[in-house]
Amino acid sequence: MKISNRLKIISASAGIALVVTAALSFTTRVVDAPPVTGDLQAPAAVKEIFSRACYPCHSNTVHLKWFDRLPGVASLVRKDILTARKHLNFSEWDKLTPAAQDAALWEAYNMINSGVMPLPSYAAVHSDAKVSAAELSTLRNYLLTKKKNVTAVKQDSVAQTAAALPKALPTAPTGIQFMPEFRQWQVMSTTSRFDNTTMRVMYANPIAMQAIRNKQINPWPDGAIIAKVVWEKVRDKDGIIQPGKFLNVQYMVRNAERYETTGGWGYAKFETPALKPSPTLLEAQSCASCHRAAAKTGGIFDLSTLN
Amino acid sequence: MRVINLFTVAALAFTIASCTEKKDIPAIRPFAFNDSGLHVITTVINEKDNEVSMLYGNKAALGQNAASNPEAAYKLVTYREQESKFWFGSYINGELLRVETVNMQPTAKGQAPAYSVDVYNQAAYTPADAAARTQFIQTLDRAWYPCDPY
Repeated sequence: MKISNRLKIISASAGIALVVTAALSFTTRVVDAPPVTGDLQAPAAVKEIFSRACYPCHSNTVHLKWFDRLPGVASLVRKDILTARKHLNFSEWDKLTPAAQDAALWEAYNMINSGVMPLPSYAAVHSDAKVSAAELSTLRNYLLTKKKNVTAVKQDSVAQTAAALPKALPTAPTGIQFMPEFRQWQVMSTTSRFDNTTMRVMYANPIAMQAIRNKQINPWPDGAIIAKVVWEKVRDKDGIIQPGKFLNVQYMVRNAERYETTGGWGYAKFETPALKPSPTLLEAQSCASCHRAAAKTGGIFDLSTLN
Repeated sequence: MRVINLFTVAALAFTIASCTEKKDIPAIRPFAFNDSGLHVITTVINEKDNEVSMLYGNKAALGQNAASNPEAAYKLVTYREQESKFWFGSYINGELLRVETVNMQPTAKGQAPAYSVDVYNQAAYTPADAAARTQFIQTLDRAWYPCDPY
């Protein structure tokens, strides 16, 4: 008799919990749906892929499954969506400059291609978010229509303004100081971007260079530093591309503990010949977020591979 | 008891698997060129031939009046460009193709600069005119670095 009463109580409690959970699942407002100020304009096939795989988090339109509204889950979903919207919002596409729009599309492709996006935890329970190899190919072909050609013309040789480093070397908000000694480091690689019109030379300090040689780059050892120098590309009269206007020097400094919140790397950028320091600590989160696409090489993109 | 043993074995197997798991690091291209203390002067890209070259020089080559300094020495290192594996939208230096060396020492005796070329991974390469290549290498403008001379 006692057992029977207990069973009744347990059954009733479970029933109530089920009803409450179901009610919450259908009524919980996880996130707001602000108005769409300007949507992505792209061919239908491309738009469909982004709409399905990215819009649920990266737009103002809310696409939630019933289980996204469950107690405990809803708060995690809300956090993910708000973070995603802040980084890239297809519903507020008009707020980006044309250059920023293109940069966002290249980044989105690379994040999807590397498997970082859609978030694996999200894709595991939202099977419709997965992007197939054929769809990646569609995105690639679309991006190739946006490939940037160099039209800037190289001026005839003129005396260059001599560089003059400030006596007090600038320091980025991340605490990283400009390091002129990178000029003594070995070249790691050189890249020519066609998603924009820049060219770069990457230097690795002795610790980083040794790590590459020893294949100990996932994770990189503390003390490894990569410096990247960026110029605008210009074309000379023979069609050869050369470095034009200097844009910036960027550093990635490895310290797993100090920079734990940005994947173990500290980020710094010094722009224009005046070496104006950036990024802010918040922007460094964006740097780290993007560099997750290079997870296989410990967060470093510009390593040449044996293809 | 059997359940505990099974659990223990499973946990042990999982721990061993976790410890021995190797991270999948892509095959990084070994560095085929050693700069031997030379500094980068500039980088040039030949889109037609799908090549990128880095011009290195010694201190004299980076200094004023380098073109008439017999101490100046240059190396133009040319690679095939390849698509970056980790960022679609970027080309990166790939296979090493040539190292062209220009040594200005002979100019001290009124002779032409010494030019030589080492060819790698390139079956069919027609050596270019030494004087023309020397002229090309010597007259490339320096890329602007905010910390030069360093």
